[in-house]
Amino acid sequence: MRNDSRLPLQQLLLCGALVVTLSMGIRHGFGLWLQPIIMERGWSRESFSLAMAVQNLVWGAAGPIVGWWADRRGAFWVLWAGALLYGCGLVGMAMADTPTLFMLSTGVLVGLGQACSTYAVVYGVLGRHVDPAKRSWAMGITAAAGSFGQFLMVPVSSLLISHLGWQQALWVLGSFALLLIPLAWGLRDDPQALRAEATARNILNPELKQTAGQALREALTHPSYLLLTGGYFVCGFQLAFIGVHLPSYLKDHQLDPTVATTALALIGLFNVVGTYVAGALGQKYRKTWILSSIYTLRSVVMIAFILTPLTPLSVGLFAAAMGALWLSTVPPTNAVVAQMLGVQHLSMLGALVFFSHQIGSFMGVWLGGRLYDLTGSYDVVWWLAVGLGLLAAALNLPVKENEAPTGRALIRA
Amino acid sequence: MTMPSFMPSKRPWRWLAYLGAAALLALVFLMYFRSHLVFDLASRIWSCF
Repeated sequence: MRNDSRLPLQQLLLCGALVVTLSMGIRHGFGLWLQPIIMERGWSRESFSLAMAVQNLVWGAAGPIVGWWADRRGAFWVLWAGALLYGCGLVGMAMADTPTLFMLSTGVLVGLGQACSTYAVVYGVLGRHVDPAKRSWAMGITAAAGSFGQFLMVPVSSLLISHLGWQQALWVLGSFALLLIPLAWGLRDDPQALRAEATARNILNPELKQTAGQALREALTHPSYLLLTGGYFVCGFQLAFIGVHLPSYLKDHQLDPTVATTALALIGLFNVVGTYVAGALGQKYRKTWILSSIYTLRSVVMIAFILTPLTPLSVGLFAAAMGALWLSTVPPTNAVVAQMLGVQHLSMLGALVFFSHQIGSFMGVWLGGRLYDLTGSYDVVWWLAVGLGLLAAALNLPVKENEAPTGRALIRA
Repeated sequence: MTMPSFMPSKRPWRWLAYLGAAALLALVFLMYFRSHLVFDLASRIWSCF
């Protein structure tokens, strides 16, 4: 029987998808601001890069706390806070005239805004309202919308900078961030009322009486959760390394600049399709096998890319294949967390897994640059990314998505 | 519960949704290849290194 307090599926998908489209899209073109900002302010690249690194770490570190808040009070006020923080951060990015202010606005405020408005928060609502039979698919739709946001906002950001100037473009993006507020109404729910209803209907899920601390302890002692978290670290490492260092790698091999743009477009296009397909497949097949296949395929694609001569065609094929595997890990990873540990603390536990993704991202960017400086090429990092991909594939194989932590039955509600 | 015969089948709507999504993706993909944008974008990416 359907719970009366549950939000309609169409409303959830539409609002959730638009929220993630905006929150993931706005940040994706930030690299395009590097040149105009450092030239006008007279700063080093390091100032800009440091703010971006802080942003990614704040996004990851704040996620579990924000997730705890969203699990407890619902996504509505969290999204409100996210819209205001994101908007203020973008305006601060336009106005900051010292590197410290830039780091506080672009790094801290935008990072907090992202933590309040991306996957973990939206997935918490989806988990509470969508039946397990459709959950992975619904997560796939929402994640694909995030991928679409990234795909859309790169050319849009470039157009805004060209036509309005970099500062005004940031004001426009700030106003886009405020659109999260009306969308939050579509995701407004009361998790405590939902739990009370479930209790009244005598659904005896042990998770209903679990505190956030208990859920956290349970997750951190559950081997499958830890293996999943380890795999997600690799995902972050590979994507950040390729996303940040691929243009430089292509430049080193004397390829035309337009090849990098084409690669970016192909990654964006195939990312949308791949993310949706992964979510839909998660409804039919074991999600851990899907994850293991994605990591294996990434390694195979990278090996083929490294070993074949670099031409515009090989770059295009690599971009299309990697694009299809880009954010496709997001729906199955979160769906496995929900399946193993339940949905009561899904935002917090999903955000904790994502934190490891962000540490992986940081390592991918940093080690990519560091090993390049030490060895004079990206070869070592490419092979490291290949090896880590195979390791992640192996880590996901023993994950038992149908097995709850010891001491309680599997939670399916 | 089966759908009454006078109601439209869900399948055409599903295909329309797929078609709409494909058209939207193609539109955004083409944005990357507008001559002005492709050079602007490429130079911005290149100038990061």
